[in-house]
Amino acid sequence: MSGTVALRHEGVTFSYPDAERPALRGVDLTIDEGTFALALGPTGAGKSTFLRTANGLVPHFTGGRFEGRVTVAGRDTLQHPPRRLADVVAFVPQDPDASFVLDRVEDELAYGMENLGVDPGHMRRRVEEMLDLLDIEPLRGRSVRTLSGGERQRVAIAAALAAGPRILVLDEPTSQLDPQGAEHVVAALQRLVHDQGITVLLAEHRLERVAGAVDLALGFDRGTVTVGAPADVIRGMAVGPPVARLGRSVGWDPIPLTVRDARALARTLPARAIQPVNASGAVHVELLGVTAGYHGVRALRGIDLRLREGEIVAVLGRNGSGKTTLLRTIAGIHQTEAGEVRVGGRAPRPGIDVGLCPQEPESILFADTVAAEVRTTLNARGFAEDPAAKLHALGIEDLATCHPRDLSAGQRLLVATAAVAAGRAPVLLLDEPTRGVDPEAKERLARFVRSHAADGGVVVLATHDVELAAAVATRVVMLAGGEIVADGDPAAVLGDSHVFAPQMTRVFGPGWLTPEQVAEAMA
Amino acid sequence: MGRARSFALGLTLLVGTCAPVLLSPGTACAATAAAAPHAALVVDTGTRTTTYCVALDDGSVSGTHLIELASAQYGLDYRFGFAGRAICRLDGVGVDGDDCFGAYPDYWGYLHGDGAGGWAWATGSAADHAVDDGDVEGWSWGAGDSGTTHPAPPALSIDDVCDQLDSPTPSPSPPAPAPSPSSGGGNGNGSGSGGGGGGGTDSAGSSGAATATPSSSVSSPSPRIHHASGSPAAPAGSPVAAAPGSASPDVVRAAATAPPASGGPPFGGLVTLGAIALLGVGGWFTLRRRKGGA
Amino acid sequence: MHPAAWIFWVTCAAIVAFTTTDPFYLGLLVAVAWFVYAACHVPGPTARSFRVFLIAGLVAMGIRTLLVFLGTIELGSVVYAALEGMRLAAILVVFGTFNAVTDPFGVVRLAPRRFHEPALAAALALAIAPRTIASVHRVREAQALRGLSTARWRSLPALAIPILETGMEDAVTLAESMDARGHGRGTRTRYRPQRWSAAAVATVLAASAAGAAFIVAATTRTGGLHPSTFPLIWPVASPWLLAAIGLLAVPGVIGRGRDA
Repeated sequence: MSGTVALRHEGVTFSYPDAERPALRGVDLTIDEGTFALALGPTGAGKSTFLRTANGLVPHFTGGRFEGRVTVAGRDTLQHPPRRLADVVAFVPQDPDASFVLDRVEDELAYGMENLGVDPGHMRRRVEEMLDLLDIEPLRGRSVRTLSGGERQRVAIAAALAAGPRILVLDEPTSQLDPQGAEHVVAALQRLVHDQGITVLLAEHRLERVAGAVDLALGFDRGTVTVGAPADVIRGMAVGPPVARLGRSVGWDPIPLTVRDARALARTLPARAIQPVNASGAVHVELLGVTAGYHGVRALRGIDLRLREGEIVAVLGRNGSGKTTLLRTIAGIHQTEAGEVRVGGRAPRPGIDVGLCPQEPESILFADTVAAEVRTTLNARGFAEDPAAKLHALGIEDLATCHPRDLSAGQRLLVATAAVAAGRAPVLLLDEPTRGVDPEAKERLARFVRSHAADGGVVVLATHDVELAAAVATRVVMLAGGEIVADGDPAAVLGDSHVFAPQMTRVFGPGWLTPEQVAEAMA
Repeated sequence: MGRARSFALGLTLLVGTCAPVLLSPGTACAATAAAAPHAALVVDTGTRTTTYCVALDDGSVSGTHLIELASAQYGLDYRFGFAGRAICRLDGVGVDGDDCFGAYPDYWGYLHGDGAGGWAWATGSAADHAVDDGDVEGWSWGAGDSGTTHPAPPALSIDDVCDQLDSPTPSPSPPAPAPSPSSGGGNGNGSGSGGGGGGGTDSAGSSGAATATPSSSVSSPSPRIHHASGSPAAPAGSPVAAAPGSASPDVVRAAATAPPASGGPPFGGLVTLGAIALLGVGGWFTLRRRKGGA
Repeated sequence: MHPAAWIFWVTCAAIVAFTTTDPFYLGLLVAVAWFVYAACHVPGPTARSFRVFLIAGLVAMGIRTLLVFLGTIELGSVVYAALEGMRLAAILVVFGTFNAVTDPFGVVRLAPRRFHEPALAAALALAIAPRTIASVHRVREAQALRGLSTARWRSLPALAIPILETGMEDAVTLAESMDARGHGRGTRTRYRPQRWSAAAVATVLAASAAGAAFIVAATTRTGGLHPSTFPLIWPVASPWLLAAIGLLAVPGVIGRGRDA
């Protein structure tokens, strides 16, 4: 923190090839060495583009019109292609699996150094250091394909750092991770900043996970950026962790960014009465003693579950606890080893009785326009209605003529959901719907889910986004090791958990789930 | 009375002359009455020429089918290449694989007999050529890409190969009774060493048994070995129209034999199948072990 | 095991397949390739790619055999075509094993500098292929869950477009990552120089013996490498050549042929 500048942008304006609007407009900012910086804002506002200017991928890899200058550790990115900056800046993409080059963890760590021509003895020492720093020594001989999400992120970070760069850039590193995994990664990044003086710049939507850890915030809005202390930047934007949203609505100053900050400002609220689960609707989905697995792994053991019409069920659990298998079993595409699944009194017909929006919405998008995408489902199912109604339900009617692949991750998720919902299956399943999704899209999704349930449908969300579960679920089911360990009212289940408690619960106690509830009570 | 007697005498003479011939299959009388079609196949390996009087199973067959018939009736070893359209090996001479020009410049040259013992270089393939009753087909192993350079088989006509008066030729019709000893002696067929097939014309009745074949039932084939005079060496580059009687290698008339039993798969094949099963099971176990342990 | 040893292995196995159409030899070769795959494959999505090579081989064999029916149909022709198709299938399976047991980038490193870029493109394709193949199943399922069947020809875009686009995006991400980590920057060093283990040496020796045996058999025309289809007779199975093919199983037998 000697005042050396790690990253400097001067009058940077950049447009992608064939784009109508610039992705970045007049960006002027300086990030000092040893800063932990956070880029936040709605998707499409320029965060990813900004990250890529830091290592030269923009403009060398992407093309387009570039004005201004970016200096990284003293080097002008226009004069140096990305490979020439590899010794000073490292980039970790959102899905590291697609960026792993080699098979063994050890070799992956050494890859960057090999490219830089580091001598073997030094390489071996650095690899050992990185294994210790990111706490991945037991994984050294493993194949990268066999790692869990959190392990993969840490290996990717280690591999990025092994070459010795002083600047680390990460694109949504916690989006695929469960709360524990996310905590490990954020803690590791903090150690790097505090102990090693590395400059870390990351983009993130799940602000509740990182807002309290960072020194500097960069708020993006349609290509322009506001730089400042996290609390200040967040106060000026519509986004933020729940405690910040609460702070904004009740007028706290400074805006709290962590649970701890919030506790200091909050007064005690009476315990909120925990309502029993609304058991009025007819049972629509039944799982009786279901056991299912794959490749010798038993993912579900003896599951007994009854879901009623009108319920919005959030299924929470660690990565690998069986959430996805549960969804697939309900959908009728996963064979059960034992037990029975009944949807509407019969074996579920995929696509007809149950619709599932996949983890990666891109898996189903193939049409030229959003409207065509929805129409495809309508035609396949023999419904003669206009797609516009379906688009309206998700608030994306203004995207009707857009090409799905041109949209942001959040918008793509909404399109995929519309395409699946067009099938009019009464049971709607969503697998990790908030991966890489900005708060506005999340809000639209929540609205849609509520209306679907209100019409008598059943919605099941498998997620680790605790805040989403707190906001929208009428019932929470917790899975661990293939078994149901908790099932009931969100306030009860989430209130009882250490790992999966939402921020409001942590501040105010069980029963308090969303900032809106608290704000109302405090008013 | 005189006329009746002349008539009876004439009939007796006729029957007397024809009887032995009548009673042996494929004799001239039988031939004139209802001749089974046959063609001559001459195979000249360069060191040996073998002739085959092949009974046709149809009015007209292809040049390749003629070879197949010869194999069925006489056990001629052959192998086709290029999906059955080219001759790679005959009588043990040729290439092993499917490329009939694998031993280039040597290969099996294809010629048509002109009926008088001469040879004309074939312009089409054997698979497309129609062989009719009385045709002579020739195959000659050697080098040379045209009728003037490729060696020709010795001069032979249909009668040289299919000498009907003396030796009955095999026919596809059901076996006729064995020939009477008197006619079998025939044309100086003294050597009668019966190259492999039915015994000589002496042993009546034995011939049928020894030469039964699936495709054409050969009844008394009598082997006839005809050693032509001349040096054994094959004159290379001899002109197509070789004059009869010129120096030529041994010409052997094929003796009809049963084709070699095809039998079942070789022992090595069964071993292979066993090895494949072993590898399959071993691999499967290894996969399971690795998946369980990993 | 050193990638060069695998390159040797696949070359010799391909030589065996090229020189013969004998179904016993080819069948044994395929069984050996499968065994080596089972014992030596790199864990992860490459497993599914082997299946793809296998299916591609069967399809090639099927098509080659069906082509015969366009012309004169004889048992000999059909068998001839089937044997040629079997040879194609054997070559594909052998390459399937190679793809599953090697790390594509480990192979790329061996390319001389001049061929580095094309070798890299090939390695990228090989690295992305397993993920792309795995996505076939995923996409098919996902489309079924919105009521779209991907079984018919008309719905091929519903299956193909997401797969191809995901493949493209993966390729771009990988290339981006490699670029950002300094790929192609200058002289490289090796972290863990590939040493020639005993298993690698044994594999090279055994594979060479197998390849040599078949080259000798082919050039001396000892016979039996191409079964006769006109006339149709049982193919031979020489114990020497069978043993030579068996030698190609060495990497699967000795120390699993891969690093633990």
